[in-house]
Amino acid sequence: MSDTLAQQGTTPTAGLVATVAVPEPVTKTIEERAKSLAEHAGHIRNTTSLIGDDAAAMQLEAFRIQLDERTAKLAKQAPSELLAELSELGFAWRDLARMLGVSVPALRRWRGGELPSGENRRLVAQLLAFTQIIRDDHLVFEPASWMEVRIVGDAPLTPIDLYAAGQLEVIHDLAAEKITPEAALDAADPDWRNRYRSEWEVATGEDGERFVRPKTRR
Amino acid sequence: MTLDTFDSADDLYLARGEEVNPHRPLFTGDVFADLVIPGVIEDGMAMIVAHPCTFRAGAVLADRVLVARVVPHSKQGPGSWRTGFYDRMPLPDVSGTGQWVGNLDLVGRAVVTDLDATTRIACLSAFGVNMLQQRLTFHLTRAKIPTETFEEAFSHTFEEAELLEEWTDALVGGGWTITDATTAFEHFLRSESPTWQERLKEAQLRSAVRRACRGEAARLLRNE
Repeated sequence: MSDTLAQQGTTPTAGLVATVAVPEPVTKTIEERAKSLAEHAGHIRNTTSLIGDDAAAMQLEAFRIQLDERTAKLAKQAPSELLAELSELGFAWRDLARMLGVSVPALRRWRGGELPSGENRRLVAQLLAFTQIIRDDHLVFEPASWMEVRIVGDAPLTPIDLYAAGQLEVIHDLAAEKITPEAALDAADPDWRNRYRSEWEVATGEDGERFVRPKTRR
Repeated sequence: MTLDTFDSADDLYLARGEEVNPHRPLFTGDVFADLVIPGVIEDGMAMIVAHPCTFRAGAVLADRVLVARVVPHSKQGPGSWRTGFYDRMPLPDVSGTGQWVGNLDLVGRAVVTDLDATTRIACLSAFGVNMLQQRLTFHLTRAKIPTETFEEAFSHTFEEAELLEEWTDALVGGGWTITDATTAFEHFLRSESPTWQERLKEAQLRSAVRRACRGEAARLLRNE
């Protein structure tokens, strides 16, 4: 940094002279100023990114706490009542069975009053809690419908598939619009673009029924 | 070139043995304990291989349905079915423990009235049905179609079967006969415009169809 005038010279008044910053040399090039700006901007972006990562982690932690809390409350209800609420949302029994990791006949028995294991009872409560959170907090209209629709048009993956794979946090971020649909699939299955590449498509025939044909070139 | 396969036997089945719901309508992949197949000498188990649209128009069944003989097979792990045995549909532990297969060359048109719900021993899951369709298509044409494509094309038929099963359970439980319950279901499914049946073809509309169907079944029971 520049020297002060008080450090220059030896007169008695030298110490009384106020410190004055010496301006930067006018000769600093535009390129040097751009580099300085770029470094400053990069620092801001890094800081912002770290703050964003911390915020995301906090949000997911809050979601986990919220899910556990609501699950615990719902688990007090009879499993048959919880399943009735899930049915009223419009879920298919085979999808509920898949998300819960059990068979459809097992669900039928629970609906009839047979008690599931403690862990299965908690999982039923957790599923209902999850749908309530995405509906109430993230304004997902008709969560059963939303969870049944493909996340990205080209890949046959739905939020139900992700839930069955244990990817609750990815679905939560998708519902909260914190990640794009493609990012959600990347998180769940990094190879999805290759895995679901197909030469076939589904079309509707003149009889009104669906059929499978080779993809038409566009 | 590989076909799709299962991770465990449970992936292939909706229900087996005593878990098979007699109210579930006949569907592709259903396995019967004992069935005569015209043109197939061997006796024994058989499975429906026809697409549901070829043997049912709603609740009305065709006179005959294409079935395949189910025979014992050497035990194979799931991976074996990716690259071989294309003329067979694996049915591990379909009747107790053991390896069985649907032999896609031993086929014939069985009489529908012989397909007795009391002798049905297994129903395939949606994935099991799609895997059967993939193998049958590949065996007959060497065209490899992903199971996901079959799911996209025909899952609405599986949805309809599940709804009819649930509807019949509810109404028969309330004292209706199976015939009356089925007739009422057909009437409901073809009501509205577009019909509820048409709406089942759209994934985002299915939950609304299920809610409407369940609500209507409850209404019918209350009116009894």
